[in-house]
Amino acid sequence: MIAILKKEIRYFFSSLIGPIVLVLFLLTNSLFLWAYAPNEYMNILSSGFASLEPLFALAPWMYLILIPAMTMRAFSEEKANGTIELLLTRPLTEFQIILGKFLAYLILLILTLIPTFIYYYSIEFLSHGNIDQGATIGSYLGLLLLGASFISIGLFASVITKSQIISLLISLLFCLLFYFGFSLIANVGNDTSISYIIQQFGIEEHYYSISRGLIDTRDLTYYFCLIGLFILLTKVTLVSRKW
Amino acid sequence: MIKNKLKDLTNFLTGFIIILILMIFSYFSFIKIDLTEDKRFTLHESTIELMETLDDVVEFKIYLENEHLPADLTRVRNSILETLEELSDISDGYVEYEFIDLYNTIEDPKTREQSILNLKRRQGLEIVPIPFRKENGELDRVYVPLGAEAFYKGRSIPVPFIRQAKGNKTNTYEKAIEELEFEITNAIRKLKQDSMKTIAFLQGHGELGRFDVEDFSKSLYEYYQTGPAYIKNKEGKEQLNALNGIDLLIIAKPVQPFTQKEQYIIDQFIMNGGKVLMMLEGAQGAELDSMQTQGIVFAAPLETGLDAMLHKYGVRLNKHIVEDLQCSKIPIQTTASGSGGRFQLYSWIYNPVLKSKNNHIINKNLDPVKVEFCSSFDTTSIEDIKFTTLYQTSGNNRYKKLPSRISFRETANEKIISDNFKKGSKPVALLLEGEFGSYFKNRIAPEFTANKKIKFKDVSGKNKMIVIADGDIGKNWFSQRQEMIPLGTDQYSNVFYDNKKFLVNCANYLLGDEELISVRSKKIKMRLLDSKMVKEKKGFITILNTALPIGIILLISFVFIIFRKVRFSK
Repeated sequence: MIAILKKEIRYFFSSLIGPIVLVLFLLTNSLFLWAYAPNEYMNILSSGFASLEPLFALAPWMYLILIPAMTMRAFSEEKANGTIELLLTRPLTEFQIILGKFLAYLILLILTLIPTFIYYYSIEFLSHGNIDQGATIGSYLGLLLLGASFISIGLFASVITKSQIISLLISLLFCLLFYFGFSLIANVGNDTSISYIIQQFGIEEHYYSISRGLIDTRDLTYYFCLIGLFILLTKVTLVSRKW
Repeated sequence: MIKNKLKDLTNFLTGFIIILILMIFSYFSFIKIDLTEDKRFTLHESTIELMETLDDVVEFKIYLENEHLPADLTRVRNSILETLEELSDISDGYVEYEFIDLYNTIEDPKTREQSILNLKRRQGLEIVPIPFRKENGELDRVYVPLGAEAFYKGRSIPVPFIRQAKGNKTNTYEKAIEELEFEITNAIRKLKQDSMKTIAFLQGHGELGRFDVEDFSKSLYEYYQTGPAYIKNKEGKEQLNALNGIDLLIIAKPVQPFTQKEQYIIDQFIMNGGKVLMMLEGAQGAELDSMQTQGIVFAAPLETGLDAMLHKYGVRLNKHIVEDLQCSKIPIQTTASGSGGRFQLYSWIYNPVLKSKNNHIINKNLDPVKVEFCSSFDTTSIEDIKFTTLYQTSGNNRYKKLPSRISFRETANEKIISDNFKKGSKPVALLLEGEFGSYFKNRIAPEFTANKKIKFKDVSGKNKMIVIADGDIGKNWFSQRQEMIPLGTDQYSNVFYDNKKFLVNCANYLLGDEELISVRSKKIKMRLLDSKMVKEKKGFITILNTALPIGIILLISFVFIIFRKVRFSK
């Protein structure tokens, strides 16, 4: 499992996918949050508030695009090249293979977040330490769980097809649906009585309170269940090849 | 092969069912952890204390219930449910609640409409229309009250959960969720007050009238009985028992002198434990509206007789007008009058903006208050009295002696040199606590004081009073369309000052309701960047936050690639 994890991470850096994703993420963030000010509330300096909230509003949208782009090759490429057979002959269970890949992408996700600590310290400096540390920790946790859910969706999308493009499109669709599709459906529907229940399926609904510093075990369970569900789906698809 | 498939599918199904059970279970038993520093998602300490003091069931009937509620209102509804559940838990079931869908409980459309209308008219609850599509495709709407009614020992009051349904909907609902706890506990507090304390605004000496203090008295009305008080009866004779039954007497900006008998009645009111909030002017004639018509006013010292009494209680009302560099702005006509002259905003040194000293529960976390042509106090050294300054002038002051002339032109033309404002700060709002000596001690004939029937008291027990050296602090203005402008609003700049909160806090404190203040002050701290530093360091910070993270990533990747090259070349 560790070997797979290492192999994946090595691949990110040597293939330059990793650095490109990281730089793209950070560059967009710094443009929106610090340099360019199209919207007063998006730009931290012109909003005047000592809070990283703009980052946590922007980052889900960035992950929505970047994570499917990262995960699209996870299994599709191996399937197309036939290396998947090689992988499966190793003395590893399917579950370990999936977990190895999942953790590798999770590490990359954490790598995108670590440089944004500089933002935190900048705000702390500019506000004389007047930033809510606890709430910020909660927000980071929320973002991490959101990213992890996207990764599990991306892995599933990648395992069902040989084509990387199709994988990308499917995971984009699923991420969109789970991120805010459900709340969209809930608000569009005429029958508002079940709209609340529909909304509960969406990531956005569960991201909202955690990103403001309120950890609710229901939200945590939702994320773990969502991740678990897609890993389960990935696994069953991977083993179905043998049927 | 088939065996494998079966095994895999069973595994999958087991996993799926476990996830499903976990998901459902999480909704039945959950905990919340509040990571924020201001604990904005946690119940306030005073709420928990309040719940422990309940001795009878408080019942809430919540009308925010309908099958057509949109998702954002459902969120509000669920937050209400959760808050009430939590309160019910910690109060050992003394809080009960019921969600009532009026469209289910009342069948007849006419009666239903009437009861919804009643909730709006009598109870003041906001009603929102919610459109929905019927099964045959027709559009229809239901009207849902955004509030509840609370019942306790046979009394009931309305509980508004959303004060205004205007503006940005999402923001309003978010704010409503954050203020749920306050609204609910506020209702319980109001219901628990067995006998409503009485607050009276003294009338008969040119004080601020009913409409001048409309906003102030409206906020007091939530907790207390309020009304006017007259010492003289219709024939102009002073009534000794005029102030009986009053807990707090508010004397707001009297301009006519008090007779000896009136002084005596107020004095004895204080000696017998009555609380007083005085807002007094040191000068007469200095009014902005008369300036606006004449351009000039003459201000003279004002002697009402109350100032003499205050001196005996421990403070001297200075007969001057405060000029302060920290002041609000007013428009002054700059071109010749007549054909719609042009107005420009000038710093008007006679409208000081006083910062809270933040040293007492009354003024904790309050924003500045604004005053007009205010005076100031000096404290005298009376042993039994403890003085607490609540608001004071900025310290960059001049004090204009009276009588004196004040004109727009002089003030607008004067080059304000801060060096001229050298006089130190003086208190404008003071809290006095202790045993007050009667103003009439050693002043009236001994036969009178000895008369058992009159029950003259020459010293009060432990008592408190608040004196403010400005009468306009409690006055709300009216717009040209005769709409009330909320107290504390600067109508020229639309800045909000905390006059109302301060005065209501004063009343709460004087009447011993400190817990009302502490609940109101559960304020989420504004976390702001230092704007001066942002200006200075903007470029640096922007570059740092762009270059440093990317630099680190590039460096790591570079090192990684080099490292691999070296290893492979070996």
